[in-house]
Amino acid sequence: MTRTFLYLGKKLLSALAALVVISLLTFLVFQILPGNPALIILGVDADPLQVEALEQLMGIDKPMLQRYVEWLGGLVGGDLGLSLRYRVPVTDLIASALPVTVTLTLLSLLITIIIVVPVSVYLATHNNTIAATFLSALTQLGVSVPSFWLAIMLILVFSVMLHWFPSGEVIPFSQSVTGALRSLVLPAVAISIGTTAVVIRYLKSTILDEMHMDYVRTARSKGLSRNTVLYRHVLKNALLPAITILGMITVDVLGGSIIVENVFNLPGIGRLITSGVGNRDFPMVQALVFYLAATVVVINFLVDLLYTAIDPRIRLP
Amino acid sequence: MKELLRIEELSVAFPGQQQEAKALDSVSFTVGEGEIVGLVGESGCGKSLTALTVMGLLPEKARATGSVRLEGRELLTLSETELCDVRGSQVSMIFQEPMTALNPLMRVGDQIAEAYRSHHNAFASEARQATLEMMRSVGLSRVEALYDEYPHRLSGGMKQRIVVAMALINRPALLIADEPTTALDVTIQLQILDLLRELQAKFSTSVLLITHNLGIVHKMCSRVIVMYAGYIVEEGATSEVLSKPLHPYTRRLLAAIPTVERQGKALYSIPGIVAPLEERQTGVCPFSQRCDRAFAPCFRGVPPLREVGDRKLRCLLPGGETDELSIIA
Ligand SMILES: Nc1ncnc2c1ncn2[C@@H]1O[C@H](COP(=O)(O)OP(=O)(O)O)[C@@H](O)[C@H]1O
Ligand code: SF4
Ligand SMILES: [Mg+2]
Repeated sequence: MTRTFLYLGKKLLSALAALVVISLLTFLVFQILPGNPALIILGVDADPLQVEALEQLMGIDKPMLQRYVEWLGGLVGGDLGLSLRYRVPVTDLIASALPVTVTLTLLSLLITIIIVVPVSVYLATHNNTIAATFLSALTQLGVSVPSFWLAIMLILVFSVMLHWFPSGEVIPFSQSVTGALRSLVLPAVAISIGTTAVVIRYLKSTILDEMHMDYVRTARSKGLSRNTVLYRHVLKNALLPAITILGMITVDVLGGSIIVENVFNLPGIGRLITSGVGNRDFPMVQALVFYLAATVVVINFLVDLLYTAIDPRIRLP
Repeated sequence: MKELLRIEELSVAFPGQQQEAKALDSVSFTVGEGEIVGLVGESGCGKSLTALTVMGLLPEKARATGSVRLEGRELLTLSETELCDVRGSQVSMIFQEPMTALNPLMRVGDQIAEAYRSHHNAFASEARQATLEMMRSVGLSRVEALYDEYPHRLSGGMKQRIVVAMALINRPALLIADEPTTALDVTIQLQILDLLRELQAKFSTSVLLITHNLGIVHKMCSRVIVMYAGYIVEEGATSEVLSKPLHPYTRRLLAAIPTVERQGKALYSIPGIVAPLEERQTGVCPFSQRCDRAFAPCFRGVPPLREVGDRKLRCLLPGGETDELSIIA
């Protein structure tokens, strides 16, 4: 038991260290990036005196270390300054965009998991049948199709032609929960297809590997049927390595949502980043980059926790 | 002695590049009720395949012909569902590698109980009781706590005891032990062998004991079958075969055993290896490539398995190799 805590403590420490490094890197990158924020706000041919005054107001003239520490404080306290472009607190912008992206990500993950497990099991158990070969080819296609193209096709077919789903608008949850979910289904599908295909291929091969393990033969020699062995023994062992790529999947899905939000015109974090980059809205982009990276670290930590909970062997490092 | 298992003319073939390769050829033998029969031979001789055929667990691409009968019932033609009823209930198997034989993510007790429940319509509590009792029978202590352990926390010997418990919990008529102690330390080997002997007597189980160690055969088996490259080459009562081997291969196996007198001297091992399946010559004595007594007729056909007294021999030498050689006896 203490071993488990020690192990988790180590993981927690390394996660914290990663966060510090990420904040430092993000901060430094935005220092090196060309372009003076004050000039961006005032225009290139602004009065130098005015520029200087604004620089003071924004604190750009302070020493770098001091600004870093202040920024860190802001990150933790949720005060990220004003958006250069919208002149409202960055925090408010993020708060209004976050629910869209979170829902979209969760929905995509849900779709991924719902499809991945049965399809992988089918492919692994029906290796070499025509249906399995066809499905396998389909996953190959899924891996190679870019999500933005898929997003456009989905809009064309299901929104424009069939009118099954709305497009280009997002219905707030406060208005209608089903409506909101409906407006997110197509984008979520566009995001998850690629990930689903990758994970299916991965899980199928781990299932096939596991089926050749000795414990499977032992289980079969007890008189368990092939299917019982598959569901009671093989699947859990095969899903275990798949959990380690859960972190990678989430990162994938987050990245996908940035692109797909733009195609579907959804007011989420992805669109906020794109518009922030386009407008050189430094405080906002800087904060978003940090938060995205931090999310990845946190997710990987959670994956470690999950792994520890499932794999009894972890407790004896 | 009543006959329990009868294997007749069993051949197992794998599809090869040009033609099928027979990994087992015309294997015939019987195991009587309550008997411990040894199956020996070097690696690649087909011992495990023989065992897997009886279990109905041959690799998918393997094709078995002939007959395997357990208490008169033909196993080779059973459906998968029928085989599931036989496995673990009438025939059980112990494998060589205790380290990997158990599911790493399942409590060891549950793995034993699972064997019980797949052949008994039992409540969980009943299966647990049966499991705990079986765990005690295989010499494990603190069984209540042990029930909830995961395999990685157990030593190799304990794991093999768990596997033995799993194999015997349904009191099968036949236990096949495929090199059950090869992966274990010498002292643990002896403990596990003693345990097998004790349980086999207690439950009057028949045992087919697969090993490449003639010392184990001497200790455990009343009868021994020697295999080479997919063929049975010699069979007989252990004491006779070990004191008076008839087949050149058996003789070499015996000479390769380390003994007290030969300690310190270079270990005599058999030159060469069993040819890989694809490279085996057909239509000659299977041992001819390595036999130092081979003469012309040995290359004209596979010698038949003939009776010599109450023993069986697949060799063209008139009385087999009858030189005196008593290493063990
Ligand atoms: N799945 C398989 N495919 C092809 N050949 C196999 C397979 N399993 C076993 N064999 C071959 O059958 C022969 C006998 O194998 P095996 O019964 O495992 O030998 P033993 O247990 O005596 O060491 C070996 O030559 C081996 O290469
Ligand atoms: S038949 Fe010939 S080759 Fe085969 S074992 Fe006997 S003597 Fe050797
Ligand atoms: Mg073997």
